[in-house]
Formats: sequence, structure tokens, C-alpha cells
Amino acid sequence: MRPILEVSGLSRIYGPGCPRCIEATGPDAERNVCPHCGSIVAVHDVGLRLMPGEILGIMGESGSGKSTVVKLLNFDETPTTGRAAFFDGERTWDLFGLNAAEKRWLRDNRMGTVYQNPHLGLNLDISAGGNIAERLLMSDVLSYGEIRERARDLLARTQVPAIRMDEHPRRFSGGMQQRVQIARALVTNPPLLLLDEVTTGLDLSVQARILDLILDLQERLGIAMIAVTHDLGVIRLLATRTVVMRYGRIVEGGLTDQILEDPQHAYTQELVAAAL
Amino acid sequence: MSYVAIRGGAEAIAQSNRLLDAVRALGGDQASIEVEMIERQMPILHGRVLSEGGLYHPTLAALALKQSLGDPLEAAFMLRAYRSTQPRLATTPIHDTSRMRLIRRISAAFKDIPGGQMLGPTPDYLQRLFRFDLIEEDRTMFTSLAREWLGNLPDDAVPATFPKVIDALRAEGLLAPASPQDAEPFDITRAPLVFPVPRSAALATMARGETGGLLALAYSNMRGYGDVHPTVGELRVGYLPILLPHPATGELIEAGEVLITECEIVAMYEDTGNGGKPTLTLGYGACFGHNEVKAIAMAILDRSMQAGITHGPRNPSEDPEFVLLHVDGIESMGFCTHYKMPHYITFQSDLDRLRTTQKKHAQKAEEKFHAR
Amino acid sequence: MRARRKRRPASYGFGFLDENAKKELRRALMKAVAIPGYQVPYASREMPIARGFGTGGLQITLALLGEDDTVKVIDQGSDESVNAANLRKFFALVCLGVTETTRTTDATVIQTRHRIPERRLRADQILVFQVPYPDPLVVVEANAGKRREMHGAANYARLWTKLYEDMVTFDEITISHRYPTRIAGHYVIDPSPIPRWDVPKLHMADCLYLFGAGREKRIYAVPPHTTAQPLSFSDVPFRVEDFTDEHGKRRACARCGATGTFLDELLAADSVKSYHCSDIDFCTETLKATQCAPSSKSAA
Repeated sequence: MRPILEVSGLSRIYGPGCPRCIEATGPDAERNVCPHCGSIVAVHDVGLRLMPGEILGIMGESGSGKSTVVKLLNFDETPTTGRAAFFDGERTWDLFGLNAAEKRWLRDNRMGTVYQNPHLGLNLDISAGGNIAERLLMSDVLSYGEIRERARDLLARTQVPAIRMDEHPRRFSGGMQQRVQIARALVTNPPLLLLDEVTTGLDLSVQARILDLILDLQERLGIAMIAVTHDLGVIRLLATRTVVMRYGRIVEGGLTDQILEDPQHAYTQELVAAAL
Repeated sequence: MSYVAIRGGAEAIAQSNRLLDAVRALGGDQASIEVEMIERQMPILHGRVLSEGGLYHPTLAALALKQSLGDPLEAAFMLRAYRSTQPRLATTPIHDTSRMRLIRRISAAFKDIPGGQMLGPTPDYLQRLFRFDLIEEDRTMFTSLAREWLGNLPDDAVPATFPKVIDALRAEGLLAPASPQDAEPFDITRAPLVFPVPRSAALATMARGETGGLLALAYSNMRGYGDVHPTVGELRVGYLPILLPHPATGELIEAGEVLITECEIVAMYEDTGNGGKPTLTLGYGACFGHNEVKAIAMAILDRSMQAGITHGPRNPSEDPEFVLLHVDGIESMGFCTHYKMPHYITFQSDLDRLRTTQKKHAQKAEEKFHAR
Repeated sequence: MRARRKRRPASYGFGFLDENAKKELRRALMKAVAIPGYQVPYASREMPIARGFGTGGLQITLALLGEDDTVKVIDQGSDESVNAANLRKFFALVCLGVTETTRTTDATVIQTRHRIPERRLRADQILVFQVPYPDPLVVVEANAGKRREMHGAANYARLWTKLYEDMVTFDEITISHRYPTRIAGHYVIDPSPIPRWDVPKLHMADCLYLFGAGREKRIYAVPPHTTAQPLSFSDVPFRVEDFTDEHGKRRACARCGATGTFLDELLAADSVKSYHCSDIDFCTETLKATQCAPSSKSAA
């Protein structure tokens, strides 16, 4: 089966960089700041394969580079090196070889991102429906009736009460804001969704309902997702396969069950033990 | 039927202009104020017009003040408009302000500086008390003022030039060396500001900026919307020789001199971000005429905008777009004034929208009432 | 007229601006025509009238006018409004030889504030707009750098979202004038504070429309035979000002009787309203025509 996304050799270094950056950082060196030149090796040599309809987990603590991976795939940052191919139906997109207009089109139409902080994914000064409308308008859907219809439908699907559609999300709870963000991300039916710590900071019961919603959407719509989290519980519930990152590198990868049952890398063992 | 709106515009304007001119003379039988009097006896106001007008033409600046009934904004505006009609004949090389013939220079950074502090004419230590005798000033007393001052002055009282304070700081390595002049200075009279703009564009814009506008933004930084913490390294006022290339030989010749105020502030050192040696940072201000508040405010804003460019603007005074697009007196005053012009059409359009919206609102309310 | 000529200072040349400034303006105009709707930055000169009083339009007009031109100036549709009168006086002073007119049909260059003449302009006519705010995106994005990127990518979703929010809140699009209009399918312009009534006249016109923002230092153009579409939803049509009375009848001009023009609402002292054509020349011409031929009372 053909993957939907294939990433190889992905690296991002902040700072001037020097020939010794790579050997002096990483899980063995237990640091991501190069002692020779002060550069930060945020991500180095990351490779990923995401299959259609699959949820791939990226697990790691803060500073592991997992959020940088999402930023690179979302075009928020530019990689130092690396390739990523997005297989979207007939088309193959060389993600890091696109011009600005292509990137924008792809991000507006064929990808969705849900951020931990709703401020990043939503405009809190326009209505919940307006946030969804904006994305449709980016895709040149210009019928007011159709926009209203699709926004209403999507908000219902993400369990946002219809009567709140015309309210500003600023007044919503954290869980409700995340549901609006998910609705906004889904409105163009993208085959690929990036989830960056989407349940972090929410109450446990709210977390559970958001995770249920994500699983339900994956099942019904068959969207492939990359879920980045530091939370083992989220990984256990969502991800079929998982990679574990530390100091910018992948230390272990495979089926989630296997990783949780029989962790190979000392760091993963530590994580799993701590969660028990 | 009355139709006031369509007639009489030209006639009304003509009468208004006549009246404006007559206002000068309505006071009685005094003599008309002489242009030279304005230039000589109101040099601070006059200098402000030169500076904000962006054209060093002392006679026209004084005439502008006379014509505008003493409104510095209007006067500067006339000078600017006149400037638009003048072709560019030559360009000076970058001026060397160490060659200024000074009337005043101080440093707040050091008690003693090479060449010494020279207080010159300043109201800084003046008690702001009225001298009621000046209401009716005696003519002979007045004319003797200058004669007495100049007569008692020894020939060698003031040296020809003074070294610059910041050169001493540079020599010690406390201040980064002057960056080489690799690029042509940005000419704000020939190209619009499209951000980001080079520092030379920012300095040129502020040099023509409105004193009050610059002061307000710089003051916001001083009070805490920003943290430049400036020390006046050197403030100098004096006559700067203007060198022009000879049209035939290209040799630089002194074409004259202009009165300017220059201020260099030093601010606390910063992380250079590239591992370089930390040094004090510099803010620069200069303008035509004797206007110390403007030069200092400009130097502070220069520093705060550079900080904003390095670290991202955290305050209005650190945002070049915010500062530079809002300090020009001619532009802001013009736009403020334009609100007095008729806006019948747009207001009619506004009313149309409001009435339609109100109608819909009423319909909705009625529907709700019936649905109940 | 003759007395005024005598007072003309010797130091002001034809067209006020120095020749290099005019050349630069013409270059900017050429670029604006070549890229319809694109805001061309230019070094706006200071004019002897205040910023906000049409210095952008004035610079364009001065760069265009030659001695064989006939110029008309309108403000709010009227040649006699104070600002129009003032500008005309200035042209008389610095453009000797140029003919002045109040008749739309006679003009080769018309400088305007807030209106497009009711009579369709011809291919040999140029309409110059005075523009206070050149960028329609300023209402959704304050940062000029970001706006430039949005224009480049023809990314106007945030502007459309504003229309959506209007519909949600008021059930109507509340933009009354300066209605954002898409030119040749790419750039969205601020057509200057003309009423919505005038926006359709931009579409596939015979004449050239030039826009000058002096304070904001931008020039843009809508060339002849170019599409101009006001932003709207496919199912919420763009609507011009409504001049029907409480009985659903189209109001007529109280002076000339025209029923197809933009009307000024006038309040008399006894708070009785009356309605008159905003385009005074059109009104006067219609009046003349009806007086000559009393049988045909309809306006063009």
C-alpha cells in the first residue's frame, strides 16, 4: 500500500551550525545545544511514513523536537535539510520544493492543523462559524448559504451546539475551542491532519471526549493524522504506530502496542515505567 | 428653491482667503512684521519650520510664518510644497559633523570631555519667570544687547571645532565602530517607504518629523513602553559647513553653512546575537535649526526602532512602521484637516446601509413577536 | 482671470511639479495600467493643498495635463463644492493654457472626489480619483508587509470573512462606500469613497480610471475594458443605494426629474426632505434637454 506522507532525513538546526553539531548532540550526548557553536539541533534525520487513514503518534518531552516536526510539515518553519512527499490522490507534492503560493494552497485546502493553543488556529474575534467560513472562502466557496450549511454541519459533527455558531469562540471553554478548531481544520475535507498536543491543558473528562471525537472522525472520514504529544495515554488511545523522539532524534519506532508492552530504548522504558 | 450646495464655492473661498490675509492687519495701525524680524527674533520657531519643512531656506521659512499667521505646521507645509517645484541640481557627500562651528555642546555622560562642555544659549537653567519690562522694550537697550555681548568676547573664546565624544568611546572599544557606508542613503523624497526600510530612511523621515509627534512617541518609550534608558553622549548645536562638488572639476567646495542640532545617545549594551563583543548602543538624531527636544526624541526613537528590528517590536516606539508613518506633521495635519471637507455622498451611503439594516432588524423583531 | 495671472509667482512652472517628478509619476501610471488594480508605490510630492484634500489625484492630473487638455473638477458630484473650486483655481494658476469646463462631455481629464459622473465616459476621457485609503485590506490587517503578501497571493479570504460576519450580525453587508472591488480577477482595490452606486461603472468601462493616494503614496488603475467585481456572495447580490420611497416608488430629482441617478438628500429648515441629483452637470444637462423638448421627460 502506498503511504500518504513520506518524510526522510528531516533536520532543522537553529544557529550557524558547525561540522561537530551532529556528533555533539542527540540522545547519547543528552543535549540538543551544540557545545562548540551554540546552535540548537532541534530535529535531525527524522524519517516517517504515514499510511492513508492511519494515526501516527510522535511522543517525546518538551525539547525533543516533536513540535518542530509539525511546524516543518505545516510550513511554519523551513527545514535545514530533508525531503517530504505528500501523495494526494493523483498528485505527489514535494513539500519542501514548493513555492509560497503552492504551500498556501496546500495548507488551505489539503491539510489541516490543530494547535494546542486555540489562539494559533482560530481568530477569536470572529464567530465560530466565521472561522470555518474563512477556510471555505480561501478555497473559493462563495455561496453564503452553502458556507452556513457546511459550517453548521461540521460544528454538529464536532459536537458544538448549533446555537453557538454565531458566537465568538473567545467566550467558549477550552474543550469547545478545540472542537471549533477541529471543525475548521476539517472543513475542506483534507486527507491529512496534524494534531499538536490538542488535549494538553484540558480537564481529563474533556480530554476523553476530544479523543473520542478524533477517533470517530478518523473512522468515519478515513483521515490520516499525525498526533504529537508528551502524553502516553493519548498515544495509547489514538496511535496505531508511534515514534519516540529525544533531543531531536527518533530513538524508537513501531506498533504502539509493541512499544508500550516491550520498550527497547532505555528512555522509552523510563517513560513507560513512569506512566504505570 | 434654495440650492446652496451647488453654488458659490469659488466665491466663498475667495472671500475666506481675503479675510485670512486681513486678520494680520485687523489689529490696528502697527507696522507689518518684517520677515527678517521673524528669522532673527524667533529663531527657535523659525528653525522648527526649516526642519519640518525639510528645506533650508531661511527667508521663505520666515515668509511662511508670516503668511500662516505663525502656524508652524502650515508654515512647514508651504516650504514642503515649494520644495516639490524645485529640481535636484546636486548631491552633497555625507556631512562630517565634527567640522561644525558650535554654539553649544554638552555631554551628560562625562563630567569633562575633550574640548570641554559649552553651555551656549539654553533655557534649561532659566527660571521661567516673566520679564514684564519686555512688554514695552526700549529700542536702544535692545540694540545694545548684542553689541555688548559681542564686544566683550575675546577673539579666541571659542575654538573652531570640537572633537566628538562618541569617538572617544569608540576608541576605547565601548561603542561599536561606525558601520561602513556601503549603501547609498535612502532618499525619502524620491522613493516611498515600503517596509522594512533602511535606517537612513528612518533617520530622514524623523529629521522632517513633527517635533510634538516625535516627542510623544519617544516619551512613551522613556516612561516604560520600551526600555532604551538613554544617556546623552553628546548634544551639539551649531553651523555645519555644506560641501558641494564643483560642477566642472568635481572638487568639493564649501557652499555655505546650515544651523543644525545633533544628538547622540548611548544606551545599555545588548546581546549582539552573533557572539560578538557586547558594546554600548547608539541612537542618532539631527535636524535643521536649534531644536534639542526633537534631536533627543529622534535619537531615542532611532535606538528603540533598531532594538525593535533586532528583537521584534514590543512597543509602539519600537515598531518602525508605527513610528515612521505617524510622525510627519504635514501628512497628519492634512488628513486631520480633511475631515472638515464635505462628505455628503459617503454619509448618504452610510445612511442607506443603516436604514436597510434597521428595517431588517424591525422585521426580525416582529417575526419573533408573532412566533411567540 | 487676467488679474490672477499677474499675481502668478514667476518661480512656479507649468504643472507646478518639476519635470522629473512628472516623469516619475508617468512611469508609475504606466505600471499601474499594466497591472490592473496593483498599488504602485511612488514618491508622492508635497502639494500646496493639504494631504487628504486630493494631493494624490492632483499629482496625477498635473502629470497628465497638457496645454490642449480640458479639465473638470468635481467634489461630491459638484463643480462648485469648495474643494473642487479650490483645485480648479490652482489649475488656473499653474496650468496656463489648459481649458476648464464643468461639462462632463467636454472634459478630457476629470478629477473627482467621491463620485463617478452619471454619463458614461468615453474612451478619450480619463477619470482621476482622490484616494484617502488605497488598501482595502487595512480593515483586516494593520501590517503593511503582510498586506502586500496577501495581495500578491490574491488572498482575500479575511475580507470576505468580514462580509460573512456582517451577514451573521446584521443580515446585510454594512459596507456603504469604498466597496472592495476585484479588478481583472486578481487584485482587490479600494475604489475610493465612491458610493456603491458608482461601483458598477468601473466594470468594462470605455475610459481609463486612475487612482492616486498622495498621503499613502500609492497609484493604481482600472484600465478600459477590464472587469471590476464588487466582493459579494454568489447568493447575496451586491446592492447599490436604494432610492425608493416608503411606497416603493423610485424617487426623482426635484430639480430635473431624473429617476436613474444618485440622489443627495437635503434637509430644509422645516425638516422636510428633498432629493436632488448629486451629479450637478448631469442634472443641469437633463434640465436643459427637458426644457428644449418638453415632451420627453425621462433621464438618460
